[in-house]
Amino acid sequence: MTQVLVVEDEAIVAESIASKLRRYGYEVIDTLPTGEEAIEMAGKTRPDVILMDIHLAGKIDGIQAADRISGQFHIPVIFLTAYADEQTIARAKEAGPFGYLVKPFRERDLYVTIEMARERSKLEAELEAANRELDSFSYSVSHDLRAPLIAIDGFSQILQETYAGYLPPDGVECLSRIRDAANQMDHLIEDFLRLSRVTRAPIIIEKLDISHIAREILGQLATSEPDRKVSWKVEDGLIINGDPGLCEIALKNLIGNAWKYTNKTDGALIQVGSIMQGQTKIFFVKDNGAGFPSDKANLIFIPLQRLHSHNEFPGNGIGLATVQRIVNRHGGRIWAEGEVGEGATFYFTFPEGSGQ
Amino acid sequence: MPTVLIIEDEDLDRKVLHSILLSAGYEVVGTARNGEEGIELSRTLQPDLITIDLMMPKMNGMEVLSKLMKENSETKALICTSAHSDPVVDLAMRYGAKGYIIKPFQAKSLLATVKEVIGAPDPARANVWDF
Repeated sequence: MTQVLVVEDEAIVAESIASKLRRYGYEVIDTLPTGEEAIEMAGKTRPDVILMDIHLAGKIDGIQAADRISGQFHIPVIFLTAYADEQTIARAKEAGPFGYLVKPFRERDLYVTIEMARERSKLEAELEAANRELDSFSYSVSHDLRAPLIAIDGFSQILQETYAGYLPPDGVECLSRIRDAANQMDHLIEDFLRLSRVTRAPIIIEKLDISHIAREILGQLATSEPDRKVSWKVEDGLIINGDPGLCEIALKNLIGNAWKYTNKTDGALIQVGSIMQGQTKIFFVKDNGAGFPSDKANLIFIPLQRLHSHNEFPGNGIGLATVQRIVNRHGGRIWAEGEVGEGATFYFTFPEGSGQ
Repeated sequence: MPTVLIIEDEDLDRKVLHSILLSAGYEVVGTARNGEEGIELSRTLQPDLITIDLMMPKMNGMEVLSKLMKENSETKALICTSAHSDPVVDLAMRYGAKGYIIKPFQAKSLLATVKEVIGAPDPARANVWDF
């Protein structure tokens, strides 16, 4: 039987809710007047669902109580309140509630909301378990796949360094191909791991000056490849709210791509800037390099999907998938425009607030 | 007293290994988070034993081992690996490792391996921990 805890400071209202719940076949564990008691009871009895009034008798209100309960015990909380003003709703959202019912409510709505909350909470728990499993899976996969690769590379190196004299030139060439392939696979595993970390690492939002970050990345690229002649234009004062680590990975990928695909372009130019579309600021990274067929714009974000051969432009097709996940996790969007031989432009948005 | 240098990028593993060796009575003279740092420290500290994690970013344990052995062929090193991979162990031995340690660390077998390479620790320094 589904166990429900009711947190409501007015005894008559609490009792009326409890009796309605019983009529629908729920077990009411208790009715409590304060958030403090609710937190304690939630920890002790672990109910399936908590119905929480926002205005309560104790020192903390229902939103604060719900915040702590969902953080500590992962129990779904539904707010039951007479308040529906914007400020209260904005605060309530932060606590991640599984429902918000405004009094007076219909019995049937209460039932439906509880059932939906139960289902969602079950799915979230399953998802979390699956993610944890995936985490340990990708960890062991990476270690178990990489160890033999290290052996392949190491033994090939021994052959190369110690026994090269016994091999015809073609044999020596084969050895270096073996080593190249082992290293390529090693990078692939590393990139896959990064992609899976990007999907689940917690996001910490800060104000970021991406003009500054972009210039640093371009500076590093220019230092590492001093023979390349690339000019760039970066708009000043491009500010986003995002996770510093993840956003740097995203920008490194986008700018790194622009750098790579202008390799064969005379007068290579990389631009980082923004345009306004209505109220929304859209950022872009634009290059005048190899580009891609315009009808393939959606394919380039799919992992391992590549539009150029490895010989032409090295890469493994994980970078843009990583960028897309980072942008999506911040609640933003990313899309691309390109033409063969006329460069590529990547557009992305970042919402004002924090992402998920 | 036998001295040990630990090269290990993962914080938790480094702490666990450190405390196992310490409580057995070995002197851990240094810990490094990556290969470059480890090679640098081995030059200044000249430890009796170096433990090297296989899976480290940038320079993996095998590269570290091969560099250390090239610098000083007398170096006593153990490779720490989480995968039971015979080729990896073979390769480590060819490069001159004295043995290997399987992760996650198990105090008893780990200390037996260490003892084989650099001898027993100072009993006076050991905590009386029965592994």
